[in-house]
Amino acid sequence: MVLAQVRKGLLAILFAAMVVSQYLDFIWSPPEAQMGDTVRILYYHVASATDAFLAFGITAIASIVFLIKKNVFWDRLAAASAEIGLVFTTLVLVSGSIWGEAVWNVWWTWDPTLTSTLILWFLYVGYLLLRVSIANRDRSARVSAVFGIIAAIDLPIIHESVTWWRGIHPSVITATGFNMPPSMVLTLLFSIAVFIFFYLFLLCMVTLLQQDKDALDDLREQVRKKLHQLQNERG
Amino acid sequence: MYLRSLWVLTSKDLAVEFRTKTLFVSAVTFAFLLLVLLGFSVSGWSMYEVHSLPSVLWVLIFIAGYLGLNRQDDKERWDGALLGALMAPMDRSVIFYARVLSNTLFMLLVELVLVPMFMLVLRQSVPQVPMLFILATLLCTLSFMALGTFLTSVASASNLREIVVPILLFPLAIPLFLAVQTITQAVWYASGLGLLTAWWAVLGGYAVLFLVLPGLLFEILVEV
Repeated sequence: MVLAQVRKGLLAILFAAMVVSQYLDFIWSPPEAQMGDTVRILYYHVASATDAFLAFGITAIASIVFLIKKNVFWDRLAAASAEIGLVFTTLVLVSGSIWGEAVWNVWWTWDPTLTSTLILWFLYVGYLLLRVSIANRDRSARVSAVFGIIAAIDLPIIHESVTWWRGIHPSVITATGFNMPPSMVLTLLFSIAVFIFFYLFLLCMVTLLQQDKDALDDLREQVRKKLHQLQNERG
Repeated sequence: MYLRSLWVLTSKDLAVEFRTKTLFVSAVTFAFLLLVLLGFSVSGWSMYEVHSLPSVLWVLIFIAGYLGLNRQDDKERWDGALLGALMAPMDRSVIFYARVLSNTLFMLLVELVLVPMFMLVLRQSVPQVPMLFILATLLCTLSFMALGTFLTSVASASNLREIVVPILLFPLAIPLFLAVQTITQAVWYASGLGLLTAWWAVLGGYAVLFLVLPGLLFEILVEV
């Protein structure tokens, strides 16, 4: 009951923050000198990318903690985070592709950042496929945790290698700061903050959903055993 | 004791393969068939375009390698061979390293047949810096087989194994693929050899990473 009220409260705050974010993205922030209104894609693209990396980072950390503590909560958290991360990676690829068509005149190019994001997408599709295709829950958790760690270790190598290969992706955030006017920086930072809040909200929801799903599976198993026992008793 | 166990398991895998030859014959035939299809596609290409083909060799090797890994994993399931190995009084990482060693030797044999066939079918000259080509082949094969062997173990309990293994394997092997195809292209025509330091580091780094890390995590995977 309390949890439901907290959920409603969080949802209301999130909704209000998203409305403000849309206002900043579409009305308040100015068009860019070269790209015009196309720049507005950036607020979704960068915010989705931040969520995707945050989500996969949480998956890797939760996987390590699961292998050490063997507490199923960490496994659920890792799975939930990977699932949400995959959705945000899809958004990154789609928004990047639309932006690429408008600015570079191509839907896809073999740029390192694009290529490594696509590889990231494949890796976590594999991760989720692996999870659902192993029937034994304990084994599925262990195996997924191992793969989650390996994937996280390999990600920087993948990114570096495709960068050596070729690179044209623009950098709006460099060592010298943001390469954009203050109003756009504020809009971008607000979008990122709202997306992170959205990610954390989803993470709580999906983890709880996973917990309910496990409880339901246990119940199903108990019913199956009971039915089997009754069948045996009746001969 | 460790090395002796390693040798016993590796020689067991090799003996089974030398008697049946199923893995070798199927991988070579499959790779040859791909090569012929590729030959049809590039038959109208100019000599200049054909110059960029050596890097394509690794597409064939990676696909043939995956096929070999899958078959090897199937073989381990028959007659409870893996369970037997797990019950033996030895460090379980030996099982992983023995599989890597036998898979690598098997794949090197496939490459020994495939590379000359590649040169014949696709009108390619002999690599101009053969020693570097051999070194890159050895490192890449070892790394790919270490990674592939580990991932077939990861996915061994999956009921979608045939789909899951390539989805896990090929994205993780992309740095390896980029490194070996760039090196192959350079050593084949002896051009840009001084620009390969980073790619050699990727090849060497992958070999170390995927020989050490899976060895440490293998115990968790095979825990019953």
